[in-house]
Amino acid sequence: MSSPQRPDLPSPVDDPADAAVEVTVDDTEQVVPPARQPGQATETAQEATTNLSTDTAVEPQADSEAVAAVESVQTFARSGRWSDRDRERERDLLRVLADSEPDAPVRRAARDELVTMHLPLVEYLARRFRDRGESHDDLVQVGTIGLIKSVDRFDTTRGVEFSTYATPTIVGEIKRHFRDRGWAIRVPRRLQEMRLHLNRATGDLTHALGRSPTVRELAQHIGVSDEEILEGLESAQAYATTSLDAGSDEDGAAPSIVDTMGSDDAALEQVEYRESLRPLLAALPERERRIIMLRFFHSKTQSQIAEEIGISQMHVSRLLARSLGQLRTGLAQD
Amino acid sequence: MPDRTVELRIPASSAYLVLARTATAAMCARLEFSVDRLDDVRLAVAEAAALLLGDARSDADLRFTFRPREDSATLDITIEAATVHSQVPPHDTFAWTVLTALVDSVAAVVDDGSVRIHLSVSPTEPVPV
Repeated sequence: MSSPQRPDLPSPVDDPADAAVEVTVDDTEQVVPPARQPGQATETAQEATTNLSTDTAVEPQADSEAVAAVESVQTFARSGRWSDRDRERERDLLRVLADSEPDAPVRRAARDELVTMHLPLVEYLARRFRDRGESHDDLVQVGTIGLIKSVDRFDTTRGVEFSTYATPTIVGEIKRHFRDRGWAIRVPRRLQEMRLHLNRATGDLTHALGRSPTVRELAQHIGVSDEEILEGLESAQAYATTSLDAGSDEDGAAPSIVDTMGSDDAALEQVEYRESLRPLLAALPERERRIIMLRFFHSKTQSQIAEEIGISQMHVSRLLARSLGQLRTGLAQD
Repeated sequence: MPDRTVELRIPASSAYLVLARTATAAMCARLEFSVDRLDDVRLAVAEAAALLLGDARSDADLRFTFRPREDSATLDITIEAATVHSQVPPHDTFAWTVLTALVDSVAAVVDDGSVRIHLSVSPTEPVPV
């Protein structure tokens, strides 16, 4: 990586390359609008950011702050260094943070400013993970969570620079993001980006048209050929292929197994080998089992299931294909 | 109107099923199927192929025929293989349930030692009951 580095900024403690290796588990994914609910972590980032801006009366200085932030990013981008003025300001703010009462307005203001002024550091670290199939904005957002944690936990008495302390925390959050939603196999960057486009376009068009879009409509919407769409749809199946190992939804959106088991049993009555099927279904994670039941026993379309469960249609498609394969294997061994 | 039938023959091994998946998707895209539907058909073709593979003779081929109807957008697909037992797959299995849920109609026939599964699909989902 050729980007200049700040002298006291440890060269990213954790090699970003690790992220690709660790990438395994898929949990939540981008949701179809309007039910667009960002993942849990993202919500936290937004909440935290909202808190920051509402806690303090920043409006009068908003403009000058914005200018300063832009300058700060530019300085950082140009030289990889903070200006001395920033450095001094950082020390002052950290002192305020250490000396003030927990709820003091001055403390909140200091916290707010510290986070804002270090956003370029998050930008910088997020850029080190570019070309890995996750959007830069998402990485900045999860990185910001790491930054906020760092500000809240920093101990001035330890005698380390704040950025030295914050960097591993920020990188840690970014890597966690990759672990949570990475590719299970190496997929060319072009296809990774196509997956992002497809996911968004499918959600947008489904809502605009009131039905699932055609390949041609997707191609026109994104501005590529039909063939590239087909290729993208096929390769998206490779995204996080280990997701069957992932647990149930944590947000409690899905009813518990007990809730759905009764109606499932009735639906399964029609199937001859239900005694072999039931344990296989039970072995699937709750979400996958629910998708199977909705699609095959309750005649829901993939788009309807996507909406109901709060994941993308492409994600439903992938989970369906994989669960079916697993059930098929299981039944064959019977 | 030229014959728009597409045929595909692959060795009876799951390793070649990706070719059938790809052909199915391309065919559905040509006929302006929705992405939901395209995915259903692709799953159905894979499921039907897996049903036949389970009993296919070791030297058998898997044959796929994609035939768009001229008077409508419906696509007829047959998947055929020479099987050991020459029996129609039972209809009360999970695999059959899956097939019927994915496509408009599904049928199977035995013909001279081969089992043929016939799927009919229209470009949009039947309205759920």
